[in-house]
Amino acid sequence: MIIDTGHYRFRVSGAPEYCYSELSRMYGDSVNLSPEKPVDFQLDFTSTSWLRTLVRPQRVLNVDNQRIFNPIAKDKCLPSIEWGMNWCVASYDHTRLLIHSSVLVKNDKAIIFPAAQGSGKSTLATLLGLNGWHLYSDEMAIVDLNSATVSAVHRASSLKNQSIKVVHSQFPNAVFSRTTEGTQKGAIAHVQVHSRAEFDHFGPASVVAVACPKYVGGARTEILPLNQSQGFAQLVRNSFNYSTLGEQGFETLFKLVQGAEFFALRYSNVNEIGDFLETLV
Amino acid sequence: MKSEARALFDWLLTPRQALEWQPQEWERALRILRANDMLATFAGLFEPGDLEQLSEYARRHLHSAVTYYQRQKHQVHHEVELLHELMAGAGCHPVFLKGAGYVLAEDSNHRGRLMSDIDVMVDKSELRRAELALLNSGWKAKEVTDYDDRYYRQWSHELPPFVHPERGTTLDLHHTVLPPITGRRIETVTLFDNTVQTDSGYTIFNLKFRLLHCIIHLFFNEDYEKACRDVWDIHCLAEQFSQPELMEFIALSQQLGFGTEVCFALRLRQYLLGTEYCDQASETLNRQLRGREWMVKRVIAPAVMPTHPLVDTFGTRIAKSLMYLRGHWVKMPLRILLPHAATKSYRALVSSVMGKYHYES
Amino acid sequence: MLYSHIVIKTMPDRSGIVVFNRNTFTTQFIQNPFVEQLKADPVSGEVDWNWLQSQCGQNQDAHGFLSDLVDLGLVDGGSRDH
Repeated sequence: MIIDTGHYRFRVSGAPEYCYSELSRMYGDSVNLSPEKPVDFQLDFTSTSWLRTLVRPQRVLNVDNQRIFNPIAKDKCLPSIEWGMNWCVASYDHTRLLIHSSVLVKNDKAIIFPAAQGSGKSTLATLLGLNGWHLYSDEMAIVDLNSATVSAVHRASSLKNQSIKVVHSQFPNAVFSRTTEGTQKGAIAHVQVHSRAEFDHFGPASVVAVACPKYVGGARTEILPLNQSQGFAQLVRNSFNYSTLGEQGFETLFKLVQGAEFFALRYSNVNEIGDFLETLV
Repeated sequence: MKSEARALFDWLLTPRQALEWQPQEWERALRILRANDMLATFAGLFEPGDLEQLSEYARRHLHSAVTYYQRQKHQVHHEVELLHELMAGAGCHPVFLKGAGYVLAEDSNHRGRLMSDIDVMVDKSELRRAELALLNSGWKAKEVTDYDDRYYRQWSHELPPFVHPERGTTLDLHHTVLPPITGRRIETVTLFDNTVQTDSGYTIFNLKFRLLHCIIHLFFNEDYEKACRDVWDIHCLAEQFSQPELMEFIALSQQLGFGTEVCFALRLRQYLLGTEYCDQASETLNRQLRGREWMVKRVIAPAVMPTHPLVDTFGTRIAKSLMYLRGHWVKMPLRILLPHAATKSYRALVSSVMGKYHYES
Repeated sequence: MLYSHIVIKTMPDRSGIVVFNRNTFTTQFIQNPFVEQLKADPVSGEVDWNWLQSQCGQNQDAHGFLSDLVDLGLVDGGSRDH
């Protein structure tokens, strides 16, 4: 199966059958789009050993010669495809600056949410993406080296544990994948936030703000402005390939920083944050 | 051997053929090259004018590989500078080997060549001082099991690897080019007699010894997963020899006891890259390899094919396994091999039954 | 004056300067009160070095700032003493 996410085309092979139907639901028209075009990366599932095949079947996910993760039980393959796609991009695309963050866009203006795991960035991004914002990515800001604009990828958004319920309760009609229990990160599910048709209209957007989110249950909304030095440092810390890009990455980040305001956010109420973000675009 | 496996060498010889490739051919080639650490090398073989004619798809992937390589190259230059200073301060005289050596010598194969670590050689008498200097300036000895550590120190030609936690570089500190346990050696005096200084004042092997070391490394290694890169290294180095110089080189290698390895390597070059030799050289190769020519086609060539699901065959896998066994074999006499193999084997057996990752979780 | 392997840019909001080292590929952030007064190109962020040097004679803060840069090995020391 080919998944065309815009900038990156993936081929997935050898996955358990159920994965393909799940991916079809998540990716709709991005599946097997333009089959004559070459793919950028191929994710191959193979088995580990003959005994394992009998006892507790596991699959190994390979990209070319490399085993990219520890073996996975058959029922946990779906999230590993998503992680695998992220892995390929972060490991091999050095024609763009990649920042570990979510990206939301409105009125052609982008806000980047850099953050480590557990910050709630994906949940925030998904909720807003399903509610009037354009979710360019829930995982990675893809920054053009020359213009410092961000562009979109057509990917499902990933949710963990409580977030799955939270998003489902607010948007019961959204397209969810099945939930995979018991992964390293707990329960994982994916949501389709935009159709391919919507995605096709997402052009490059200039970054007007960078907001570092921290979800804290029951917390009052706090918005702390950061200066550009602090902001630049946050972006460096959260970049996948800043170090590989060297001086080019430095110039691109500087350009991005020049046009942006920076904030640290502490919140529990997504709507209030949403209101604040509206003022930025 | 699938023809596409051999094709990789053809791509390197005539990269311009890629201008005619269809997208699907590019897709396959990119995957195979990248998996064998040859993508940046391939990119470096194009003229700028030719690169512009390629599809955006091809250019993007080539460009990414080159960017990554340039970062590494930069890092190597920086590390060489720092290490040289550090060693000099400790009264040691480092010789930069392999990848770092090619970069410093600007051998054509250095362009696009990825290096996972830096290889440095010092005289055995300087080894301890060098080790201490490294440990005192932020380098850490990579964690190996006690068993492996003993193996390294007693039988090998290098210490367990060093890692620099901040910069992430790995360093291999050698005191000779071959594990003493193999029973084969080149006198340290000879090694150091065949070094030269670069314009920047760093010490590397001269061209003859860079080639010799490269060939020795190919034949005394266990890991043939990325051996196709070694073949290209050998080719690029050997290309710099005139025919008379090549004859001298063969003679020298025979004197040093590595005539067979060198002749196999040159024959391999002929077989995979179509290199032609003068009559005199061909005769020398024939004589040295009499009765063993078949090994080139049947064992060595398959073992140095690129590794990738698209081109692996039963034959290439068997050949690589055989060379793997041989690699271990030549590094240890039987009495060491059996206990070593027994320990490694038990683990391997458990791994193959329970899955490779049984010991990690 | 500025070592060739160093790139210095002034943040537009004058919160500090960011330094890129072409040798080590490291990025450093430096804060100094004088940055607020620093003359720099609005697009590239490049410091106007001539202007800075001219300030050193009469402005303690400018001199202090330049000294900091020298001490950090970013700028060649000879340029401080004019």
